[in-house]
Amino acid sequence: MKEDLDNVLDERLTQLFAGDKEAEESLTQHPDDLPQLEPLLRLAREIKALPCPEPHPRALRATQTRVREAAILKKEEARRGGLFPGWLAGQRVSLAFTQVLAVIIAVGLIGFGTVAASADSLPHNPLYPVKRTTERVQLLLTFSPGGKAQLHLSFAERRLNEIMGLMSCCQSLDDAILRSMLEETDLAIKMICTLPMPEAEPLLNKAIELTAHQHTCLSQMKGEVSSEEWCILDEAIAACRCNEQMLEGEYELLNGSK
Amino acid sequence: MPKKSDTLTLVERAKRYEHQALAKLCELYYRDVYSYIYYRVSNVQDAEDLTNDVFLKMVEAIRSCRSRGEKSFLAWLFRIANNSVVDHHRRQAVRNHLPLDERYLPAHVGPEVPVEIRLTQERLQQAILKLTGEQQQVIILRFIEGLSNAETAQILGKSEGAIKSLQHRGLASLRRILKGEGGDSL
Repeated sequence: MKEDLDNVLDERLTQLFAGDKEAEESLTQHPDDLPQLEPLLRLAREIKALPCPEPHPRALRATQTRVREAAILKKEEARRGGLFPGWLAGQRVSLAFTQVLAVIIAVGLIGFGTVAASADSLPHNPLYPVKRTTERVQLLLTFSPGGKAQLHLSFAERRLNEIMGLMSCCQSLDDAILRSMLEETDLAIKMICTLPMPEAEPLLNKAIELTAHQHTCLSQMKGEVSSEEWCILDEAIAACRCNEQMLEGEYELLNGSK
Repeated sequence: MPKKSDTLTLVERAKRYEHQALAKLCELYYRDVYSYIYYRVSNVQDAEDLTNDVFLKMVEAIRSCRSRGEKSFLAWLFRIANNSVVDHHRRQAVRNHLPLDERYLPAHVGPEVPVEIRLTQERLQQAILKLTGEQQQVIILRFIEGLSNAETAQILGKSEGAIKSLQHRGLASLRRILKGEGGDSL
């Protein structure tokens, strides 16, 4: 009997909320053979009419900022975990130093001239790997978060220049370089968000300028790419816009806490 | 503009910790989660803090999410939200520094709502808070979030029959609570 009542109430509720005229009439005019359900149906209608709470846009923006920061940290954590799984984890430091040492020796052998010449190389150039390796060494030899943030920003800028260089000489969009630019930007943002205000401010300004510049340059390329590349580019533009908004929010937050 | 129908793709991207995808998921589902939590804590500040926690937990757990679309992703978020609310009440019970009525101040109803209706709504909100945790969840998910019995059953890990029974008992308890407070208008 109780189960029947549960089912009948549920049926009536479904009818009531579906805008069924008959259910509405039976509720308001003639409580029928199950009078004990009538007040419950009325009550359900009152609950349904409760106002939907409107979250403050500021709360949503703050949550989005924290979600982005958490995502950047998790991504880096996952990447580190992937590079040094399990038993290798303890040898991280020595591996890093071996890499540095190897590169220093290589640079010494190849010569600083080659390193300097590689600075403007594009991805299809034979000197390009030297450029990327030099960047890794620079990062390994920089210990302060502010310095690292500065480097990530300049690497992100270089990737943007490479994308534009490839576009003007080969009319092609390099997806890997585009991803690398976004990753460098993410890493810079993550570092900047950990810095205290006096140190963070110039970097934050630089990051805002960079993301705005990325946004503009990529938007200008839209007319030059194929339809497949268009989607990739569109997504990257959205990411730049997102970063720009987040950084502006972060700037307001930091200035508010000054 | 992101759409809820893009959920599956966004979740896949979010599993690679693409922050744009995670921020979009946050944008799409913030309101649902906030409203669910708001009606369980009835306090704007707590609701904002707990909603924030839910989305940070989403980032932590996204790789274990087995969502097959919009509804199952929302169900997954509501389960995280329920755990956060339960933890919150546990902490509140330990502190227990203020009587219930003083702690909960509804703040989302605009001044344009007539005072009489506003008072009725506030009384109803207070009464919902006095239900058992499961009854609260069923009443909020079914009538405020507008979920079906099947979706509610999935979130609570119960059968549809159990949900119908909880719905019946929840409404009956709510009526008793309101009657006990002289709530004839409802």
